[in-house]
Amino acid sequence: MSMFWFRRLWQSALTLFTMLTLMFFLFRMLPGDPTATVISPALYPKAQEILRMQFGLDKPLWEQYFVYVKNLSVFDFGLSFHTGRPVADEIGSRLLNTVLLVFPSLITAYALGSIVGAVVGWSRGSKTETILVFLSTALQSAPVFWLSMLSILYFSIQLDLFPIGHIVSPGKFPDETWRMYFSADFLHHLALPFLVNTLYQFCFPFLLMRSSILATVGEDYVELARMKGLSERSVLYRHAMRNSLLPLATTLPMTLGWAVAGSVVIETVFSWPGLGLLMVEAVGRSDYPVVQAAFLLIAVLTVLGTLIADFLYTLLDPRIVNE
Amino acid sequence: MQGTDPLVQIQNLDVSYYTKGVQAKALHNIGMEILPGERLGLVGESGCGKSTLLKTIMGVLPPNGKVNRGSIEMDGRNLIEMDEKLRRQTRWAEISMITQSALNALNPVQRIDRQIIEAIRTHQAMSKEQAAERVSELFGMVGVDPARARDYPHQFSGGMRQRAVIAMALALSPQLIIADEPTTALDVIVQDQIFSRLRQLQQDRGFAMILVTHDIALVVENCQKICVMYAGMIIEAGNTRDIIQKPRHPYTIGLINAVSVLGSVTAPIAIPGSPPNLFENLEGCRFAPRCPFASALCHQKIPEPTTLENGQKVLCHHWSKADEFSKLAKSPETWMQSTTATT
Ligand SMILES: Nc1ncnc2c1ncn2[C@@H]1O[C@H](COP(=O)(O)OP(=O)(O)OP(=O)(O)O)[C@@H](O)[C@H]1O
Ligand SMILES: [Mg+2]
Repeated sequence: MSMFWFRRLWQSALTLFTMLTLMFFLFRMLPGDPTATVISPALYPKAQEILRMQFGLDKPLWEQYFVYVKNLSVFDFGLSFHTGRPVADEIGSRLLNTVLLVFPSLITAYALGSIVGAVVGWSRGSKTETILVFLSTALQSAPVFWLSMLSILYFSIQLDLFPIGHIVSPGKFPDETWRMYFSADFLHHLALPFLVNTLYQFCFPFLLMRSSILATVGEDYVELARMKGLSERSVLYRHAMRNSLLPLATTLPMTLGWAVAGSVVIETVFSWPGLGLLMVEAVGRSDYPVVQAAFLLIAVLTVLGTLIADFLYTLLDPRIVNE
Repeated sequence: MQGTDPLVQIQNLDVSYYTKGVQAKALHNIGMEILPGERLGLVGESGCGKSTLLKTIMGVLPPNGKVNRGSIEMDGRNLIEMDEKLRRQTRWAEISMITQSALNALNPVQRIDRQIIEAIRTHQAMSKEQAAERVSELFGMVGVDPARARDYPHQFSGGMRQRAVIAMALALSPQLIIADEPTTALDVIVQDQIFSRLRQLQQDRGFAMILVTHDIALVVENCQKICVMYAGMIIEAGNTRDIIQKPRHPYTIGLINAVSVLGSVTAPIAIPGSPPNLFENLEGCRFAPRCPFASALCHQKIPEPTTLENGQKVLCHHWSKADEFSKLAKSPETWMQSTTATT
């Protein structure tokens, strides 16, 4: 491994460590007693004391921090203040739900966005272009919760095409086995939030691809490709689009963390039991172990995404040499 | 060479660019012919329409450029009116191009051999291996180590990149190669090396060549024929020797004066003023506003092309007084006179 990648990995680790340290102390500086939900003030003081000891809350803050870091190093995220279950279990199933919603729609949005953006940018000045650019600019600045509620109002309530929320129909899979993800009922519930999210995520790659294609249209190598006798389509796909894909391919991994974090809104509106919804609930209950783990996960995704972006860049653009 | 059929014949060509509905007449009534195996130099100031003419020949005008009149004939076909699909087949196979800037002409994210192979396989049914072999052969011809063929453009020096572009132009053995200021970005030594290589290749393989440049000395060194362009028109054309010895158009006289080694003046004299704005409605001779010898007639009427006995063509009302002009033109005062001077 080259020096560059070694340095990048080291930087990423440092970023994550800073991040988790800040988070640990910041949350504990917030007003409110996190123990209130687990440790009922109605208990005997002696019983409260014992519970505090169990969670390690009787120790000084710095000692709690060291225990936290030590446990993290073996991937032990502690117990939820709320349920008392291990945080990893708590987050695991929720993360899967978010991933099933967010990743397919992100990939669909980027694939569609780049193709439509390229074709539209290539035939500059068409009516389709004007309309699409207007729509996606408007859509991009529209709040997601509003978009989600509108779609529920129209497609679920008015047309009765989709269920109003949740991941499966209530009572259908009481023990929530993996079987539920392979059911038509699940897909039916997934459809609307997936569509809304895809539509929303489509705007950015579409606008980016269109503008980078516009910048390529006048390039000499595009003209040369045309002079070589290539068909218009080959000129577009093999030269113009291939080169305009660079900024897009590198923003995609970087948006991974952002997209998971952004799912908070859509999950709340659609009552989608994912990580976003869990975060909202956990913050409300001052369930620090869960919140910290969720935030850490998003930070890891973001840092990892940036690393992947760096790697893709060197892979796609031979001019970049990392020494 | 007299009597041979021209390889490419351009007649009455008008090309305009339209920007927000405003027309810029970039080419006006262009007529020229290229014989097989001939080297023709096209000279003119920056912005006179050289690249526009080449793009029209290649059929790659930008979307706002339009051919309003005229024909470009090759092998009995009019390239202007040709069906796009057939036209595409002629590109590179029959006419190829060495572009103005080799750095930008090569796709930065593709290996050089792949870009040449793409040109070959677009027109010829050839396996990748055969095409790669052809690339090695071409690299040998232009003097670059074939082992470097799999490099990316940024790994090449400017001179090597230009050679790679020349190799690409030769790939399908076209009958005509157009070189648009092929060496502007290179130093003089590399420029000389490339031109001698190009000349040698041209003699060996017998393709015709149009060399576009604003450097008239390069044309004198490399081309048998010369076309002088000014503001979208060819104002003088003929054998290089004839034109250097006896230029008939005041602009050509000025151009030759501007190069000390060619003109017999001691210090080069630049032509004052700048070319007309192509967006304006141009009346009369387009050079008249800058011409020290212009008459009232010159400002009113576009001159008709005149062909002299030696085949030299000139676009000037007063071409017959050229000898006198040439003498006057040697003194810098002539060029400093107010532009309304009459003959
Ligand atoms: N796409 C375009 N739209 C509008 N005008 C254009 C366009 N391309 C060129 N022109 C104009 O047409 C004229 C001729 O340009 P052209 O590029 O053919 O000149 P040139 O002789 O090749 O110049 P140079 O020596 O600088 O390369 C110029 O006045 C230029 O401004
Ligand atoms: Mg040019």
